[in-house]
Amino acid sequence: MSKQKQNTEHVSISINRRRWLKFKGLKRGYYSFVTLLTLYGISFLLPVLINSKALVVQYEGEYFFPAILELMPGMASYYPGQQFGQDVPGEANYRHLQKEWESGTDNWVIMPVYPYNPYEDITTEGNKMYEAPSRKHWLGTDNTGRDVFARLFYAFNISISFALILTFVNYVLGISIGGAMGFFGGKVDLFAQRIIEIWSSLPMLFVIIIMSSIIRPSFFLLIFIYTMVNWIFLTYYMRAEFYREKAKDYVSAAISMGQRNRTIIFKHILPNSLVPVITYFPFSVVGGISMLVGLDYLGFGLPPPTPSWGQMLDVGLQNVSKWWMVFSPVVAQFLTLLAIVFIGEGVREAFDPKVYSRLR
Amino acid sequence: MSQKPVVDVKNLKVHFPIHGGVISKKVGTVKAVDGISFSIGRREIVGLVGESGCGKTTVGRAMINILHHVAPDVEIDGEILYHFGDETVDFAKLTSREVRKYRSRVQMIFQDPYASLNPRMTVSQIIEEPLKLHTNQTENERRNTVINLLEKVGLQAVHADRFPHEFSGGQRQRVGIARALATNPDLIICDEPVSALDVSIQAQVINLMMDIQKEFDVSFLFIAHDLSVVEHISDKIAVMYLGNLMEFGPAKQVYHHPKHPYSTALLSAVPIPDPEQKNRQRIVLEGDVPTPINKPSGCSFRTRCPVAEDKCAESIPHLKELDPNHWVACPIVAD
Repeated sequence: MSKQKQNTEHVSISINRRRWLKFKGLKRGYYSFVTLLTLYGISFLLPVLINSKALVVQYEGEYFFPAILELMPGMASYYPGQQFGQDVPGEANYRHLQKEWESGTDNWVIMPVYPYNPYEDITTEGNKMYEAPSRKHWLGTDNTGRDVFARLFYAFNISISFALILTFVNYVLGISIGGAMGFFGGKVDLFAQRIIEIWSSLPMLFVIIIMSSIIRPSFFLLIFIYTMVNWIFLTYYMRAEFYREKAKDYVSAAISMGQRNRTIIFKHILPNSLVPVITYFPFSVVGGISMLVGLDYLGFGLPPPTPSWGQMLDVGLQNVSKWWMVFSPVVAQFLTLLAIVFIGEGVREAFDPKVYSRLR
Repeated sequence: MSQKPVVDVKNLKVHFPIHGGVISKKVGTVKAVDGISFSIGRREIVGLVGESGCGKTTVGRAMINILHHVAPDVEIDGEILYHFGDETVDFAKLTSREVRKYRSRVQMIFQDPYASLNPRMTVSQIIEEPLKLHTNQTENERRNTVINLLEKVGLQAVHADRFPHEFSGGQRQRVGIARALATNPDLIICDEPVSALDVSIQAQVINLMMDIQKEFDVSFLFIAHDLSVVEHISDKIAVMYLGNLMEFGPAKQVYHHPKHPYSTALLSAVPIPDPEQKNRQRIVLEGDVPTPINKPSGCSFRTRCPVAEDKCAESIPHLKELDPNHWVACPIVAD
């Protein structure tokens, strides 16, 4: 408030701030962004929202917090059934405990809002295959009795995380390599460009399929494999941007005042050459999600039983008559990708250089 | 006591090799600057004129040693001797690392005020940058210096926290001037500083530069193609054609009594707002400027020169002092 009072007659805003305000003004993109960001944030709390483990167990005066422990990495959240006097093999079945203790005991259980986890199948007592949507299973169960709703949300978190990490690693690699090529030019550029040409001619989809059939891919291995080829297209943008920006007079001015290369790269050229890659960012995330879905659908993606939209789509299509199994992943994916595309549209609009160009 | 000039340029050559073919071998050279010599004295404004593509800007950029950045394989030959106090430094020989120490002594004002300011930095950040590099001022002192400089160039303290896109072309050029002045340099190279501005603003900026030159005791190399502007601001004028100096002398003398046929032709093209002179003879040169890749032998102007003779093709004419301090490179006029 006080800051606003100081410059009542004129408030200068940086280009980035201006772009942010413009983006905020584009309601469709902005609301998609807020919604998606909130959902993604919430999805890290999934173990306490959608889980078959209890939030709190009070058993003979002692308190246990299995679901909350699961949130924290490295904490053991496993309690065998015998611990709570339950006659089941392996882990305790908290839903049953809740029913058992409904009357006649001082023990009690508080379950998460949606008391199913994405991994439990028909081996857990009470689960059935191909159950239609009901109040118990909001989106039914799949071919192994797993809850579709729970899997959908866990897959949301995994998909977005995968795409974001993939895009981030790609960007770091692509921007630094492309930028170096553009800035140093000459031989560096010549040789790097040839290596990139050779590298980019590898049929990457087949490489991934072959590698996936030899070693079982994990989350980070998949990111690693896909990064190997995906950073390349960014170098094209960055190289050209650096070539263009470094010839501009403000860079010459920085050199003529004796500025160091490092400062010239990071302070002068880089911020001015990021526009095309930032505009592309949301679409790159879309690409990452689609790619993971595609690989999972083909069976070369994340190892089962990881919840994934591609795998859900695969089993759904094998059982088309069970509409909830096809419908759920398709709609989830559609909405997510649509929201990201809206964000991308907003970002592109906000970064549109036309807004700032003026007649000379 | 005769003072040393700020800079002595001796036989400066700037050649850009052209690569071609499969293995990128050198197939030719653009002789952008082909052996020019002149000097700029203390507190002197030297105007460098010539038509587009004659190498004016290249001279300026070579003198401030920033050509390697965009064209790493450029070949620079000759001497660019700066006299900073007792030290004499040859900018043509120093590596970019060695030259950094002396950067504060020579600064540049650029032609396009829209491209010469980083759009992401505020005016105060832009002017502060050289101060951070070359002085030990504290943040408060720097702030004061910036505001001081802004007022010197006709802007106000409130402008310090604005971004370049909030200014007009003339105001941006003033910011560029303030940045060049920040390190208190000995020489400022002005690369067509007013040609991107409209006429009314041009006059303001030129008057500002003349005031500043007196106040800061700085020398200017004023590169331009507008002759009347150069005559107004300069003490001396150097006329360039296709990488060579044709004439170099006191401004009034070169402007009103040019000796070289090229200067004569160039000056006859300057419009004079005087109806009585409407019958003035205008010399129209035939043909186009030859390419700097394949220059004519001898005098580079001989292919278009109205008075050329056979001997012009024999050897490259050197500047000769015809009148005191008035140098002309023409074998015909010299006789």
